[in-house]
Order: sequence, then C-alpha cells, then structure tokens
Amino acid sequence: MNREQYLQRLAAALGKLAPAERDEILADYRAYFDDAAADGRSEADVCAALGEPERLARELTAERKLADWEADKSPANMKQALGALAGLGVLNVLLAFPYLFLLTWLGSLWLGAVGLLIAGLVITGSWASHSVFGWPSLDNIVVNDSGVGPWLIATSPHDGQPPRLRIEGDHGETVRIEPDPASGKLVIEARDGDEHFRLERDASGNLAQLQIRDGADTVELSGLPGASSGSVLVLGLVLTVLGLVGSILGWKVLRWVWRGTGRWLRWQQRLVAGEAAVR
Amino acid sequence: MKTQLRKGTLEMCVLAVLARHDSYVYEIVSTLAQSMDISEGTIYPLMRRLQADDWVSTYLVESASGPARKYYRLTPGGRDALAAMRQEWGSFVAEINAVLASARPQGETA
Repeated sequence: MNREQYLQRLAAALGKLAPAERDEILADYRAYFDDAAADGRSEADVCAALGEPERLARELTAERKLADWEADKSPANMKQALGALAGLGVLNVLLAFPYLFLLTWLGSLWLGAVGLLIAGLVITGSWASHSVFGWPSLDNIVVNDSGVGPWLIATSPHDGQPPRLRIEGDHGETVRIEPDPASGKLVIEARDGDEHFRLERDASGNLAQLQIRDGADTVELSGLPGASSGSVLVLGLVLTVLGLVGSILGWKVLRWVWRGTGRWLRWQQRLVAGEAAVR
Repeated sequence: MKTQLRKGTLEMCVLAVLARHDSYVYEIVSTLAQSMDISEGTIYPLMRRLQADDWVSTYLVESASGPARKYYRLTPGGRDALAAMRQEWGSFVAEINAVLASARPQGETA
C-alpha cells in the first residue's frame, strides 16, 4: 500500500465525521507521511507502522461520537456513540439486551408516573373549574373510597337511554344490564355459580348499591355517595402529588442510568485504546 | 491492578516529551521510539484525546518547504496531569519493587 491508497482508505472510512474534521485528520496524516519521507522511510513502511486505516478511523470516529455525547446527552448522540463503539468491538451485544430491557422498564415506570401526574392535574383542574364556573358537572362521577373496586367511577349521563342486555349460560352464568322503568334504577349483574357481582344505579345516576358475593363471603355497599366536590379535590391532589414525586424520582433515576452509561462507554473506550497503544 | 496507570502510561510519556519542548506528532513518535516499543498508529488518536481533555493545545508553524506544521504544546492542565501521573507512577513502581524484593527466590541475586 502506498501513501495515496492509505489516505484514500482513511478518507472513505472517516465518512461518519463532519467534512471539516475529516479534512483536518487527513491533512495531519499527510504531514506525517511528509515527515517520515524526510526521515528517509518508505511509504510502505509508514503504512504498515500506522496500521489498518479502517481501524484507525473507527477509533477516531468513536472518540468524536463519545465527545458529542458528552457535550449533548441526547438519544440520537447515544445511538451514534453506541454504533461507533460497537464498530470498535467494545460492546458486548449480550450485555446490551438486559440493559435495553432495564432502560425500557425504567422508562415505562416513569411514563406511568407521568400519567398519574396528568390524571391528578386533570381531576384537580376539573374540580377548580367546577367550583368557579360550575362546569364540568360532578354528578356523574363517583369517588369510591370504600377500598373495594376502582377509586373513580364515571357513569354515563342519566338522561341517555340505559342499555339493556341479558346473557345466560347453560350453568346459570348470567350477565345482565337492565333498567327498571318503574323506579328508574339500573341493575348491572354478573353471576357465575357462587360468585356474584351486582351494581345498582339509582334514578339520579348515582351508584346506589354494590354487592360482591363469593360463596359465603359478601361485600355489600349501600347508598354510595355521589362525588362531593371535596373528595374529588382530595383524589386530584393525591394523584398529583404521587405523580409528581414518581415523575421526579423516575426522571432522576433514568438520567443517572443514562449518564452512567456514557461514562461506562468512555471508560471502555479508553481501556481499549490504552491496551492497543501499549503493545 | 491500577488500570488507570496501565492505560495512562503512554499518555504520561507523551506529556513528558512535550514537557521538554513543544513538538509535532512525527517528532514525538521518533523520540518515544528511541526508548520504547510503541505502535505509531495509536499516537494520533491519543493526541486528539489529549486535546479533547485540554491537556495539550495546537498551533501552526509556517515552514519553508511544504505546508504549515502542527505543533503541540502542554497546557497548564496538562502540566498538572503529568505531575500527578509521575507521582502515581513513582509510588506504583516503589510498591512493586518492594514486593519483588521481599519475594525474591533463594539463589537469585539482586
């Protein structure tokens, strides 16, 4: 290999760098060849001493990508740095999978916390809007603080026609949703052998009765209160605080892992570079 | 062992060469090659790392023949880093020598 071939291969392998940086590196290597020639060495000798241009390019690219990541810790830069280091043979692919799993898991936990925060803000906001403007109406929202079932039950507006449904199985399994025109009640019931779930909504749209039976065990709640605006506020604030704490903690942990990864990659790269340098 | 030392060895030597006087890559390599076995190809990436760490800075010197030559100069930060490395290296070598001296097998002379 002669000087021009070496520089051409190096230029081609440095394709992932900005043109200005690539030109600077090439100029430096040209100067190196000049100095070596002045020293009386042959081009072939210098090419052999410098080592494979592709390997050199991978090392220079990894250095640049890691520096970019350190300057701006964006996912795009992380991807570039990971790619460059994979080319260097630093990354263990088997190790990357559990790491990605951890990152995904942390990410979804954080998103969950953000969801709580948003729900809390929406509910608190609705409460504030209801208190000031009388809108939205809280009539159709039931806050269930009994510890059984979901916290917040939104029922359909009672001016709409309630649905009617009845499904019966061969062994006494039943699902029925039936309005009672006389009292204006709506009954939602599911039954399978000994297990029995029954929900009753009164004429004004509030939950009137909840009954859950499993064999001999029964939970029955009568006269469930409609949402007082106070309980909506409490729920909203609790969700907001939980969501806020979760989001901040989650974000910190994510950022810590993210930055730690960058440091670990840099450490690996330096280790490899150091070992290659000292034969 | 002290990984920091192992990978820092070549960096320390380059910094030591530059501590004597400003120099360009080919001269640094030639100076080092007189006393140690180094791989020429790794020096240039190393110079860029030293530059990224702000341990060296560069300037161009016009030459009578050919293009301007890029010289490397030790920064104050580089000088501090070199001093710290020298000290660490000295204590490391002393530790190892102490162990080797006390564990010398019978019959072997100093």
